[in-house]
Amino acid sequence: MKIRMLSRDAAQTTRPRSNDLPRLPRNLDPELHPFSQAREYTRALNATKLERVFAKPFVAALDGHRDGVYCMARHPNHLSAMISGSGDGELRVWNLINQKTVWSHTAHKGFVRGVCVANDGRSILSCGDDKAIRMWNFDYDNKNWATAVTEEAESVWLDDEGFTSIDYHRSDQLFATCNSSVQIWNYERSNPLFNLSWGADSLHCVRFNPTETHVLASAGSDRMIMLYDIRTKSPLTKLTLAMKTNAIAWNPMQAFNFTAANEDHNCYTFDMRNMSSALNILKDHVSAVMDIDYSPTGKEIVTGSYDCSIRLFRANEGHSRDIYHTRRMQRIFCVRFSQDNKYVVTGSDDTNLRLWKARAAEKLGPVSSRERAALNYADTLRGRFKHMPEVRRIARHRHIPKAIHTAARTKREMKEAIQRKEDNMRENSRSGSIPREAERKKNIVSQSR
Amino acid sequence: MWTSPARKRGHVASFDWRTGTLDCELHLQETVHDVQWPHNETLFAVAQRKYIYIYDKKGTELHRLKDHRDSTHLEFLPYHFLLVSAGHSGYIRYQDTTHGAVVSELRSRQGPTQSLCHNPWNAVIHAGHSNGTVSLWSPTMTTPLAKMLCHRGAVKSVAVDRSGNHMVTAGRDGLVKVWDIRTFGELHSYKPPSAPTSLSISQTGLLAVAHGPRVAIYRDALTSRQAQPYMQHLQAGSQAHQVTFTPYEDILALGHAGGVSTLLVPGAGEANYDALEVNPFQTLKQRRETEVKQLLDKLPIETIALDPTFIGKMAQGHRERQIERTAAERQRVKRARRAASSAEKRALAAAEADAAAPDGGAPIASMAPVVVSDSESDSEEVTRAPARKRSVLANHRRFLRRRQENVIDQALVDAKATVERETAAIQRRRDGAPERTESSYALGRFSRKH
Repeated sequence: MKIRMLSRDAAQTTRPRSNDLPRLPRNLDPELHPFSQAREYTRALNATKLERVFAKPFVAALDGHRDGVYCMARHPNHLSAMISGSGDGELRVWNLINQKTVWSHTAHKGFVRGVCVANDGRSILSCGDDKAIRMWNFDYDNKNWATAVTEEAESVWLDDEGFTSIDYHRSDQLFATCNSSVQIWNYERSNPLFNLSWGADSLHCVRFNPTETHVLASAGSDRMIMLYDIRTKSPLTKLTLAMKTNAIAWNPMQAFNFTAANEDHNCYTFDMRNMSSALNILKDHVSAVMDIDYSPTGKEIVTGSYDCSIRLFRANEGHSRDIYHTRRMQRIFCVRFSQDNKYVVTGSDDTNLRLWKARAAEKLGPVSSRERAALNYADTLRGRFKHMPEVRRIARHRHIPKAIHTAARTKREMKEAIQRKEDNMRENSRSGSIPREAERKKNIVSQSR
Repeated sequence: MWTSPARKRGHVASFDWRTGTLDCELHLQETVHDVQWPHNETLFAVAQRKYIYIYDKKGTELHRLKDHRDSTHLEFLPYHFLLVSAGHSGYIRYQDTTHGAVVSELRSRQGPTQSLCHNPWNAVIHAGHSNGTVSLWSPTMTTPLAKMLCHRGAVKSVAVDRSGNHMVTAGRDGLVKVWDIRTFGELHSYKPPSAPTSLSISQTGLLAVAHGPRVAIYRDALTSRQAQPYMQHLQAGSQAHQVTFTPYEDILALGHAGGVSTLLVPGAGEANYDALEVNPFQTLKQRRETEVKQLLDKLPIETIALDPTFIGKMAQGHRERQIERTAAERQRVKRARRAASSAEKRALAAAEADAAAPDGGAPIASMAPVVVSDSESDSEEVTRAPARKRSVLANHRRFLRRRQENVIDQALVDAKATVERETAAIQRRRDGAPERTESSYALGRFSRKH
């Protein structure tokens, strides 16, 4: 009679050669893997703590300007090129890899208010307080960027008033500028093709929609956001908010959505087709939001504020996921997301551009497949247990500068007091006499077509 | 695999059972009660006459755990890195072997511990006592999680199977009983020919019972009552002291007066091991890596509970508390509205009265009291709480009737206390005595009823 017995041979489990992978048989029976929830939770807690340990977002400060940096532009074809304009009229082209200036020139007499790069990447355009737009040729094929840009401006356009912003069309050879109205130019003509205006006040931000390329948004000092269509050469809609909008950014993935960075410390996301209510409000800053940019995925937003901090938001959430600040960084006037979704570049009035990681704990450089698998596992675990109190406490802990912390606390107390008064009034009056107002409609003053 | 048979006269030897190579041999000159391997074979803990000592693989004494006095039984919880000891003093002590602190000292209050075992599924310690009870312990609670009356006599040995479903106990009454731990119910019992001394459950559910000079091995003994053992072995000339199944092998180790015998038991070991969990053939490098990973994954002691899957689940009674909270809020709003509207109506009536009598002389006594009926709003309230109402006493009595008598845990203790309290209160009411006498109620003199 045959009896079956376990007979294990150590030779069967040893590998034939020393550079072979070790033999690791698996058995996924849950009886062999007890405490699965407790172990996963412990690993999630450790992963959260490690993420905070490795959260060092600051990469480099780019030093060179002699006055505050007030505008920046990305190059559409080079990830490592960044163009910045400062308050003394200087324009600089930076190589972000070496963190050095490649080319610099005094472009304007006075502030450089706006800078952009043509859609083919061969020209840089800047506009400023000296009522001029200048275009510089950028030789795309020249590997040495120091000689790639010409000394003298290729073309100059003039107007009666100083320009406040400039933006290039996604595909056509058109660019838009604004002062008291929006001008649409073609680089071959010395006069604008046409003007777009609706109301007489000054505008300070103009942006082309990257997807619906005929649509243009502008922000004015009379608290208005205006949308124009260049096919019909006429304005589309006008939206008035409670306070002035400092900057507008279009969502590169969702054609109709744009986000406006407002003076009332919030950013409002709107759908162009229905502007009676905001889609989302991004709240966390304690001072005016000066600039805003979307990541190329359309899922994340970076904002720079007058309160000397940069916040990163997820596009569909209301509060920030991270804050970057340094004692040396003063008021921030421009922020840009890099086109590989990895870095954020900020310009502030302490004359520096700063390069930051978009995800603070991310490892720069090549990541091996095993490392990537381990990092993915850690991310998944953190996401699965993010609601547990200990994990949540550690994950959302950030050091906030004292001024911002105090201002945020004061703001919160004031808001709660107002809310409490409103609730008491509502409770002690006839039901329905004090209607509730949606937060997303509260700050919209008026809208017209 | 390594084994270390310990003798009462202090002879401890550690050797690789497969190859037979001796690692170390210690002559300790004092009684040795128990030996336990912590997380790997580089250390072992010996419960000697007074203290617990930890030795290196080669026999070098590394630590003396003087907090553990008179311990006779040792257990190790591998995922929590806790060395548990119980002994003559009746204290159950948990020591963390990573940082060396005693994390918990629990008084069992049942006298010297007769037997000790850990539940591999939820890391609960099962301690058998001389009054026939088995108590279940977690390091975070000073009282046992549960107490079960198992035998008429001391509980000599306890064993729990790998899945945490079944517990087997051997008592001085000569019985071996199989219990379902999830429901704390007895499943069946066996009566071996002589008094059982030691139990072991293999990974595949085989049960080995050492009684007298014999070892009886039962197959499928946990799920159903077996008429006869699967295998038997007679160790002629000596008593079988202790049996242990070797993990991942079809081998049973038997300790007796003459030494250690290894017996072949087909079907005892787990055939397919998971190398990332426990690798019986690990190399030195793999052992080191595993040790580091285990230390990183060390579980906190708060995760030890009767149900280890509680982590991440919603708290008990959350939905009921939510309903209570919303109901309370609605009551508050209703009351406020009622007060507001009645005040309004009174104000309106007063205004009318004032308007009618501008001299303001006549009082408003003629005004009929305003009755605000909220019957329609009451009927709108849909309370989702259970509709059937029983008295508190009836509920608790019903609960006690249905509970098994041999299991004592916190719920039972609370229920008994509530029943006592309620019957006393009913008796007092029947006798006509006041609810609270001055002597029983400290501030009775301020009570308005007097």
